Amino acid sequence: MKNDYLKELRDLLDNYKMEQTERDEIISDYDEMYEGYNGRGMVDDDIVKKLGSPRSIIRDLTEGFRKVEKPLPGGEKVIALTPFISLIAFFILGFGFDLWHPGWLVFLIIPVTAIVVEMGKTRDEHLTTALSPFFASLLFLYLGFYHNLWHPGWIVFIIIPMLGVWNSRRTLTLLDLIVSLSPFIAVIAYVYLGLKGYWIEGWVVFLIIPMLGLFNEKVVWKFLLWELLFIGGIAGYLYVGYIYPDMWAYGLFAFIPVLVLGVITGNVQIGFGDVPKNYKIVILVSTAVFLLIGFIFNGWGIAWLAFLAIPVYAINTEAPKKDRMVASTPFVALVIFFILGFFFDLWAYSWMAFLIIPMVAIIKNN
Amino acid sequence: MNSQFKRGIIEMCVLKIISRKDMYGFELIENISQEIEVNENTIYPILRRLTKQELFDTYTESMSIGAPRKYYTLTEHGKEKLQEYEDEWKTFLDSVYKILGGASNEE
Repeated sequence: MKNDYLKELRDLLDNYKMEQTERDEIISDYDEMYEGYNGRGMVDDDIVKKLGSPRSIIRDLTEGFRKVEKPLPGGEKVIALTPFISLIAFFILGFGFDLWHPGWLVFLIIPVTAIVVEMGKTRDEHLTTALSPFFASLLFLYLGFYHNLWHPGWIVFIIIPMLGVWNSRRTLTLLDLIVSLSPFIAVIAYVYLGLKGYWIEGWVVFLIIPMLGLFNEKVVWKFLLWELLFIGGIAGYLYVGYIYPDMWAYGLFAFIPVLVLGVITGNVQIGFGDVPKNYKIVILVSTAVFLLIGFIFNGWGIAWLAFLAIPVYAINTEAPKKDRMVASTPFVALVIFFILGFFFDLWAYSWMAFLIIPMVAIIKNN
Repeated sequence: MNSQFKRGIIEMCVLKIISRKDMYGFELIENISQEIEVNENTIYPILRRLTKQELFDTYTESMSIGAPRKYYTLTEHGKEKLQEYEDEWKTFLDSVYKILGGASNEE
């Protein structure tokens, strides 16, 4: 068992650019730890649980190391050819079948191919996360254009953070994974309930997030008390609301015990974790703009563009100065493309906005 | 507590504990975990990094039973660095106490 553990660890370490001595050191350390726990009478399963499975610890162990790249055969050539292939396909669809829209979608082949080839080099576990915005966008546009489901079609974008969490599952415990996914599941459940006519009371599904998180509480009576108060709060809230339909707000008083306990224990915290303040502001403003455009102007179809401010801000804050403009152009292109298409029905021409991406890249690199 | 901040403090504690007595990794974890909640995956990377930075030297001692143990010992450079960290830490704590209005570190 120890040998299997160390072999798996070594195999995983082999995927990183690391000096042999460093790799040997890590293996030797884990060998020592394994022996140490063994000497204290722990059985193999418990030792693995204590040390963490190789897949769950590999990220911490390789912090700062790059992955070994194994290029896909012909990958670079395929990337170079995709713009031409897309252009030809676009013209065939446009001139041949008058499918300028949604024929423009073929241009998505360019970034998708580049992502697959580049991330494929390191067998990056977040490949599907990186591809998800494209598939989410395709699905969203399909739902919007063909079924007029801009709202709640936007919910498909939830797949992006969900995949991000899911692809990191090896570094998470099962409980942490469930808790991390619960906000997204709650949003989906809330929208579903809303469409069924339960917009007012449906928000209680969000309480699943703290209720699941409480499973981390080690003191049993505290855990039970919290859960009991939450269940009592939900029951009380729903009872008041259903008996007196105009008085939902008064039903909130049923959550006072939860709040009191939260204040006493200092466990009631609302925040973004370690997200810096400037990011919080950008996220909040984007969400506010999204909801404002959506609810006030019923512009769900266009409102989602507000969220593009988040990656653009991140790029302009975090990326090296020389790369910022090039990295931002896909988002700018997407906004121009979508606005021209959505408001002026210029889908046949607006795709040209994407040409600014290679143009800017060429200009900057020269 | 911010994980980076905690890691920095643990690093200083590791230096301090090994300055008192040469230790092998497992022994160090047992020692430090009496006071601070840490696990192997935190301590061993710190030991490797500090060894690489030449703050520690290592030597092995064979055991009558089991594999030989790798001991860590503080180098001269390590001693200087520890002193530097301790001074910074005391200054930092004094400032924090002043802000909080509590007793100083010296008291």
